[in-house]
Amino acid sequence: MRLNSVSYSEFEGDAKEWILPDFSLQPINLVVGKNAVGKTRTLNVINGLGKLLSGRQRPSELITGNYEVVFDHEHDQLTYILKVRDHKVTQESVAKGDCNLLSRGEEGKGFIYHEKEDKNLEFQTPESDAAVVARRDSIQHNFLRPLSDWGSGLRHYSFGDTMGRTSIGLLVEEGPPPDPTNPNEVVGLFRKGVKRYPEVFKHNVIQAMINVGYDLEDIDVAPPGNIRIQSSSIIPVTPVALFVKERSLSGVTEQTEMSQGMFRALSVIIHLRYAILEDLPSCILIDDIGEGLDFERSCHLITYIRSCALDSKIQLVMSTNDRFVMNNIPLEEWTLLTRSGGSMEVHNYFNSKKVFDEFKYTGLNNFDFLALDFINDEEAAVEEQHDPAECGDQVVP
Amino acid sequence: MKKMAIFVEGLTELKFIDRLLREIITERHLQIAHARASGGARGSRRVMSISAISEAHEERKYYFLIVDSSSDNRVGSDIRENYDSMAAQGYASIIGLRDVRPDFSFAEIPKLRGRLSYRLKTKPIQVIFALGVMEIEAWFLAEHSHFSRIHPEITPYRIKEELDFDPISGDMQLRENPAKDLSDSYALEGLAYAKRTAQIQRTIDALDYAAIYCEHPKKFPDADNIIRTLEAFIT
Repeated sequence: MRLNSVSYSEFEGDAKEWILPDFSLQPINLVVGKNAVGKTRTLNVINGLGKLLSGRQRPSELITGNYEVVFDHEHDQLTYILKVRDHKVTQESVAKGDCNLLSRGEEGKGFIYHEKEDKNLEFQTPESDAAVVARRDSIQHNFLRPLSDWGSGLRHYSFGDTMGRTSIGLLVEEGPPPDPTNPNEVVGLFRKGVKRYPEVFKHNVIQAMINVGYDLEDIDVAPPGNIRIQSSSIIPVTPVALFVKERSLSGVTEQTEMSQGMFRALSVIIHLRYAILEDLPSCILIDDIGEGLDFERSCHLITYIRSCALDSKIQLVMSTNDRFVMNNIPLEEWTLLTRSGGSMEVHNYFNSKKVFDEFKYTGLNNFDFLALDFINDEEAAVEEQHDPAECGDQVVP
Repeated sequence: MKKMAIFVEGLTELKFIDRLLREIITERHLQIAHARASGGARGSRRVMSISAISEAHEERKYYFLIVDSSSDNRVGSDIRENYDSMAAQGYASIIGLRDVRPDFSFAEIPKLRGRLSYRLKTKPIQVIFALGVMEIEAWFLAEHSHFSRIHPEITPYRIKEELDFDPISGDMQLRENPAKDLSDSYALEGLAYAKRTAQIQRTIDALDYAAIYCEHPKKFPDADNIIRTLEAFIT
């Protein structure tokens, strides 16, 4: 299932109002925009949707928030609407094409389609919860499953953060498995990947790092030499951290000694490879991709991530401020965000194809599309060309 | 001393322009510097670093900075980014030289010409854009006397017979892939043109710049544009 479009608003009519209208998505998307325009927030909105649909977050945790989302699923479109006000669900619906399968309103009352009986029956779910989560039932409401699968398969990484560099793993007998949705659990995820896929996982990660420009011989985990753990736990724990062996260096480099850029690349590759082998991810969000990498490595990492996404049919939504990244991703995959007060404007090939196509003829690099504010120049020019107000009906005094 | 900057898309154009300048301007009046533009992530400026500079003669009158932007679509961007600082440094003229191929088709050339100067200042420096249609190698093909200097057995007649295009009477601007044509021509005698430095240099050394100066303006409007701009600059 693939996210086709998302519209979102919160605090409508309030000073804190924020509106993201009709963000149409493709298999690969690069969200760009000037500083503080709302790129990170846009990715957070999609991540929040994933949390709500998978049950990792309840609507009652939101003060307000209105989602209207369309998914492409097999040959149909699934439309999901969720409106939350004062921590309560005020509206929720699921439709497949034109057919409403779930609809509820105030007090959580509504109807839901029962597949066995082939009819809609009334139901009531607490206003604190999403019915798509609370009413999961593979016999009667199997149509809800793709939504929860999509939410569970969503991954969100913030490339500008540490990506787990400052987190080490603690080996505990029968401890909980690593959470693949948590970017900080990269050590545990690497160990699990090696254990589950001994033939390919480590090899894939090393090969990917070589492709990006880090000439590695080996990657593994071991107790860190430069960290001392003091623990009063009666359960024995063994700290472990990642290390790499670079071909050009005689010794190994522990994760805390790696450059931030190198560790971020390693972390995102570990998460990506694991997710692909597990066949789990539906959509991967990477905020601030390219941060901390030089030109060559930034380009290679982008190429690698894009090829992974294309091969595995994972939908990819990245955001960036990085000129290298922008120049390396075709404009066809761009979504440019602009903002007027709390209202976002979304510009991409779906709604501004002519402007994007026209930019090509400037012979400039993609970054200049943003830097020269080409979208506003051209949209104004197009409006001028088509504005009938100035011709015909004008009364000349 | 008058200063001109010429932004080019790669090593081939850099070497060609460098040699053209040396052939048409008296050496003691000339100083040429090569620069490479690089970097510029996250909104920081692209850095231009001088990679080579010729000796400064006492009688020098003209300083040319040839900037290798390393990519077609960086030529215009690098000019924009450096325009103000070049104006402050007293540059009198800027030329941008880029290929049409592979980003654009022949039919798109008029639109490309119309858009290249998008939001580019015209004062105090006038920027001239010239296109290699479809690639700068079309100019090399049209300087057909150079083939025999690459190898005595490579002649325009043989190229016409074996490769089905005529570098003497044909319009080389209509060749879809001039670099490949050049490579195919050299390959008639087992030689390569794969854009390696030594191979580029061999072609640059074999060209007759007097012929290019006199004949190419009639065949290539963009060559005419460059040569007229250079003539105006040194007059």
